[in-house]
Amino acid sequence: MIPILFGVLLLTFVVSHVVTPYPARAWAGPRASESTVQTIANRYHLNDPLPIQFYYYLSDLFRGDWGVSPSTGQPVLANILAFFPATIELTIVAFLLSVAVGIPLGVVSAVHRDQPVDHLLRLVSLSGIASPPFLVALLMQLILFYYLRIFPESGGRISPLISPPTHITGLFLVDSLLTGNLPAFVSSLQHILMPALALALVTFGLATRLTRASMLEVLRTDYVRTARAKGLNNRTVIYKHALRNALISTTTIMSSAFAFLLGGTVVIETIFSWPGIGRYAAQAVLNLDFPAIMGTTLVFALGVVLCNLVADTLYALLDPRIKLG
Amino acid sequence: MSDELLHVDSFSICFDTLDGTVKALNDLSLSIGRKEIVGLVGESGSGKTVLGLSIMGLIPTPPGRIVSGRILFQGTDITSLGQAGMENLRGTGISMIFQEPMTSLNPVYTVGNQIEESIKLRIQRNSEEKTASKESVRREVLEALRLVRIADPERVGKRYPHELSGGMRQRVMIAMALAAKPALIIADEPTTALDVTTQAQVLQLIRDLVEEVNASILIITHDFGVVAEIADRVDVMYAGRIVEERQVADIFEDPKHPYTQGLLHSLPYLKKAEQRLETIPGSVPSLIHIPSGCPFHPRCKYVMKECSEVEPASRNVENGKVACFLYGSDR
Amino acid sequence: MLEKKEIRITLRLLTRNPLSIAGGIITVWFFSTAIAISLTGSRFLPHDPDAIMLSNALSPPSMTYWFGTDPLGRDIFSRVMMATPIDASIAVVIVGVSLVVGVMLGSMAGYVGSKLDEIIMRTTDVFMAFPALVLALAVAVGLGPGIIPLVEALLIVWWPWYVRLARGETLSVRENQYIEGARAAGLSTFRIVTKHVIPNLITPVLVYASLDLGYVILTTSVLSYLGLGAQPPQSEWGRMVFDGQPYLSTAWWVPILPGVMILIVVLGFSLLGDGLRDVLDPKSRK
Repeated sequence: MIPILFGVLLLTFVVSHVVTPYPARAWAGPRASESTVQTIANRYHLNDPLPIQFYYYLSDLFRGDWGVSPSTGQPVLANILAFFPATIELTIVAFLLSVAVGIPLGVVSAVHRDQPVDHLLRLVSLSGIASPPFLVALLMQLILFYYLRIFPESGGRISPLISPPTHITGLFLVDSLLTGNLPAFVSSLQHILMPALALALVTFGLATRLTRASMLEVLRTDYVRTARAKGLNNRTVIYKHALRNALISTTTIMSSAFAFLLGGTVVIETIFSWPGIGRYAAQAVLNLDFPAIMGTTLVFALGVVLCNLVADTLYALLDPRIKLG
Repeated sequence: MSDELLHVDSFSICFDTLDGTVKALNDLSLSIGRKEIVGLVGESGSGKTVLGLSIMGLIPTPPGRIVSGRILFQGTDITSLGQAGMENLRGTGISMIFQEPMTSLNPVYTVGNQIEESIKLRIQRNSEEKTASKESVRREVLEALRLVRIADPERVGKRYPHELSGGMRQRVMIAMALAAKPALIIADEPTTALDVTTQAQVLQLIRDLVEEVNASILIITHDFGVVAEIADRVDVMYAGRIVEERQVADIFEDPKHPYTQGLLHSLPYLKKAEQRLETIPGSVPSLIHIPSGCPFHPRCKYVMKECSEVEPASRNVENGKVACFLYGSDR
Repeated sequence: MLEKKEIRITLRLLTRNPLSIAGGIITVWFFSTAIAISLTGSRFLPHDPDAIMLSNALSPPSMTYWFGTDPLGRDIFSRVMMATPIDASIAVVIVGVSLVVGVMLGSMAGYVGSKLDEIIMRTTDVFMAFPALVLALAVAVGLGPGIIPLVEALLIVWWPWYVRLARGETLSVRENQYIEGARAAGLSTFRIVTKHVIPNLITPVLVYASLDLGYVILTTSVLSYLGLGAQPPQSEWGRMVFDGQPYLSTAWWVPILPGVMILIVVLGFSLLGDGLRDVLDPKSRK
């Protein structure tokens, strides 16, 4: 994992210092004056040879200086830490939703292979994966808010009339449950559902396809044949014997689906005005705010690496054939 | 007839594939009585595994298709039972052991757990047995492992399949099959994947168990040596048909069907060292294009005119039956 | 694999699946429209995509204006059609280059193994640690708006998956007997890889690429939506959605229909690629 982390830092460095034609200008922002650009260039050693730049880049990062965002005027790291919990909460809820719906549907698809249900589910899951996130978000807003008035037109994680729950984890749903704050919980739930559903649409399709594929493979194995030969009923064969094995490969691949989810937050958070890192990144794009973009990119990459680690651990736990470490 | 445990009655099954119709079993008849060990011998491609799976009702029905005939188990026609009925029969009525013990056991559950499943299934189906306690089930698992001569059943029961040797895994499969106390066990090449010493041990085990356990066994194999070890009777299969059915001692002494003769004469350990090994000319026919009349006729050194025209019916010879015109024409 | 009988069976199996047929129709339509438009411009479109007619602004979909009109009275359908060549060419370029790079690197990594393999795999791991969209965003912001920077950004991001794929396939082919034979016959590594390994990779890689074309289009549209890539007056579907967003509640067709177009095209590629993959899976051909 260490080499990958190093590689990630190296790559972000290359993108921010090498690929960009005028790094100092990019870091200072399009509206900065020439003198500001010079100051930035000196401050971050942007005129020095590349290895020296890299050294300062790394030491700045570890010291917590991720640059200052020209558009917010604040340190990038502070911005990111502030918006972090909102995105975490959103992605976790979206992930749980997609898995809870996707896996059972994948099983159904596999068991009824090539029948109409399978074709329908294939269409649905592929549509999910193929949907542009902004289309989904806009359609949801249009139908669920404008026409049907079911959900509130977001604008945040919680109704402006209710004060956010006491900060323990930063995750509103968790905090409100921990403090027994029911109104906050309900309002947070109402506000998170639409963006989470929109975000979940892509990964749910992925979960369905993956589960279907692994189930089909598992259902062909000798040990499933043995289970049937033992006289176990169909239900037991599928859920006890087949699914447990199928989930092993599904889980590990779903972890890379998490990368997908993180990418999706950029658009979804923007449309639903969800105060997370994704929206921060989108606004950074609009403002050509380079430090902010680089900061968010780095954070996302770190998140993915962490997820892969979790997935590997999970894999070792689920499959008795693998030993940890 | 009523004493028979299993009677396969002129059973034909085929598979519809993109390349043509595979006629896996053709008008096949076979019986197994109580406490009998019957060997089914055939080369790969003869359809013997299909027979085993058909008896179990495990042939997927597209692309498989039953053309004619039926299979009677304890008097009931099981080909007309449907999935739910067959499910009820599997495990406790008829059980099956497969060739590859490595892939035939579920890798994510301990072997003890998998044996326990068979036991619990039997208890659940048998209304006579009162709902057993967890303790008694656990004890039965250990018993089952001891029955197949596994030392230290406590420890082995907690192991996962990949942690055991091939021989151990096969014993576990046997234990699993026996735990449900079936009347008939179908063993499909149970020792082929094992090394020679382990093979002998497992075969010995199977032979001893039949006495203790009061079950009949259909042992499917390509190896006459296996048959010699443990079977009472042998059925020789070729191109989806039974061509000879004899008592084991008789068939080794005096094989009647030219195919059986060819098979036995090509075995090295039945001949003296100086004699050359014979081979059967030609090759096993594809089950899509089966030769007319007697399917063996293109390769038979005794071939006569009627062999290519009409399929010989099975006729009685001493201690058995043969399907060959050498032993009497049909006219 | 590319013998006539195999192709015939593949086509037959493919046409059994109505979804794959739909996918095929959509992709063929998409490319032919893109080609037609880049050759003839707006000549065969129902309306002039740039014709401003304020009296007609924001009219709903009708027989004259199939997708309705935008705030400037322009026919949305014609504008949507005009944007096809951009996405088509970007998709082909990105996938084409990634495919070539990926196959070259992946087959070398898989075949030669050891240090070369390690280096290449670690590099792809690092690239794949970034959500594709996010990394492309970062690069594109650094390079500035416009189509060329967008293409460059996507190229940087897109190749690792092909390396992985090619490497995986190479690893399984490598064990084949005739590779042993070729090696024993003294053929150079380069020769073996190009003549024996790569032809076996072509099928799975092409199947993946056909799926992937759609995803490039999807990512391009998201990047355009966010403000990068094609700049006005060039029209691109993602950009059209963004521009039409303020009219969501009053004239839904302005942002929604271009978005639906994206969905249909991407779905078309997915269905086709997915159908191809199913059909070419050796286990399902019984």
